[in-house]
Amino acid sequence: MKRTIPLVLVFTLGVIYFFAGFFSNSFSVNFLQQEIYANWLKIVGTFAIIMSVTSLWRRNYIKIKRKAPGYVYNYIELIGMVVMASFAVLLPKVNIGAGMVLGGIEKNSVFNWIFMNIQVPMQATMFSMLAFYIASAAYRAFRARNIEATLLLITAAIVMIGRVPLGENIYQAMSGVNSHFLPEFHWAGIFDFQGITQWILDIPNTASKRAIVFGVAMGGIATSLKIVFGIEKSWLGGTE
Amino acid sequence: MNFFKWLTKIDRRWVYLLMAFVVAFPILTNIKGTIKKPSKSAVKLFKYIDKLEKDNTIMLTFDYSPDSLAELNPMSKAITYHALEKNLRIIGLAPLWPTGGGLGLDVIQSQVDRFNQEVVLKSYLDEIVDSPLIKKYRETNKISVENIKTNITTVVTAYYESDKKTIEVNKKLFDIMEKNNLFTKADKDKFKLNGRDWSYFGYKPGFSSIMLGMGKDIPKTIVNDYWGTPIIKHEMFNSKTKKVKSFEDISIVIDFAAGASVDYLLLYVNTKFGRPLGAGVTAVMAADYYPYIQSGQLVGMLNGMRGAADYETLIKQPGRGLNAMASQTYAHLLIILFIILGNIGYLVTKKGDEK
Repeated sequence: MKRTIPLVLVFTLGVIYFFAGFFSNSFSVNFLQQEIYANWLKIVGTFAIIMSVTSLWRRNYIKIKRKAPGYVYNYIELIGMVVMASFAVLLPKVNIGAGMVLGGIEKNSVFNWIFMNIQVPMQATMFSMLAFYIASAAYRAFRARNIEATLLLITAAIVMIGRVPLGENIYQAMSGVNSHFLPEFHWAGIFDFQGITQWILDIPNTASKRAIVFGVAMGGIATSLKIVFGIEKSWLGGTE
Repeated sequence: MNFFKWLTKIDRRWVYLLMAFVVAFPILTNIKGTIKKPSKSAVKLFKYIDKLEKDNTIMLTFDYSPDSLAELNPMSKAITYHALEKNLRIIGLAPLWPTGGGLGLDVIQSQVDRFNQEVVLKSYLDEIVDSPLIKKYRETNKISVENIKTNITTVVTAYYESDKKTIEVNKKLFDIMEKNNLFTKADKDKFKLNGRDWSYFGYKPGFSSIMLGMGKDIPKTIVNDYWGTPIIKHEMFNSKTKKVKSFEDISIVIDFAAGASVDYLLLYVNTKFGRPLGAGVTAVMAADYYPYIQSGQLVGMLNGMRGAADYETLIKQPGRGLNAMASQTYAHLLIILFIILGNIGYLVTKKGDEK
């Protein structure tokens, strides 16, 4: 029973979604898409929120109770959740001076102030660290060890120059020299970093990416069909 | 250790220090980059938006979090400003990322405020800022000229939007302006008003159901805007002549993304409902979307900070994107320099080892 019900559910929903997604007749659009699929998703989504909040609360509470290593962060997570939810939903929208309101999610609310002045700078700081790691990793990893690595290295350098205004300036300067020296032969073209970058993105990148996307899509369809028809059961957990 | 060996093992802290310097220096000294030839994909998107007619509606979706804000905010602001200048109507929402709800509001609101203040109110503002009563109010409350201009814009906009909460917060200034008939001098039609010229939904959970629903009936699916007002009360959704009902009435959807949201929107907006889709993405994921530009599924795309700089150049409104171009140039040069140094050291020491 534990395995049959999920298999029946997956088969039924898989078939409904197949007809809702791949057919555009009025039954598919108005009934399957709007009435069944869209409404069910809302209901499932609402329960998922309840479940996730409960699960988040339980996970943190257990860690705090056991005084697991770093349990102080679990306190912070719970306090953050309660504080933000309180400002957004529970507290009244009263004026607290300096053009700010206590409750609500408006631009001048405390909720928005916390988001813009605490979460935004913290997340932005974390991500900005990437510039340093990329610089260091590029310096250590980009070595001309073989032909493939050399090609990658040269391509990376061209794209890096072609994506900034410097690439345009080099080409312009070289075109000026070209017009005075051997004007009958457009050798400055090899310095058109922006053009070469565009070509790399438009042709080799597009071709390889399309091949990958196509392969992934075919694999996705095959796996989905195997799941819908109950051939692939590993998602149920345990062993057959 | 000989010099060439040292070149392969420069302490990473030097790399970090130099990187911090080349990024910060242009920003601190306000060195700006210039773009002579904007990227092809940015031009395509610009041309598409530029040819839209007055009162056409564009939908902006904000699927990113604060960590990508530095890259995606400049481009989303540039497109929003362009749309306001073109008198297009704007719908904003965050269909996938909850954090996009707050960021999207900041983008649209800031550009609407900027537009109302800079473009529409310029002459009107100069006139009333110098009026004796406003001057007295400004001096008593120690408000700078720039801030009073912002406050006046907020109050006039709130007056036309009948936004009681904002009026309440700025009661003193509102009373002074009302008593002296200062509202009547402004031209309501030129303002960008919430509900008429733009509408913001915030984060709406349940991506698939939201997308499917908007393909049929936006007011029924979304129900309330970001502030909890039923959107059917908005002129944009109940006007007899030019109301927005479903995706059919949206001229283009533009997704600002730091994740796979463009893929999902391609499925629903473009493939299912046949509406044009544009994208503004972080540079690291841009390479993934070139096949969709070539196939025409994406109208155009802004690629990272350079994409923002391209768009700012195209609309002739320099902003953060162009500002960051100098930093990006120096940072790229530094990385290339380190790669060259590392390779010189590697090749020379390798030859030495072979001997």
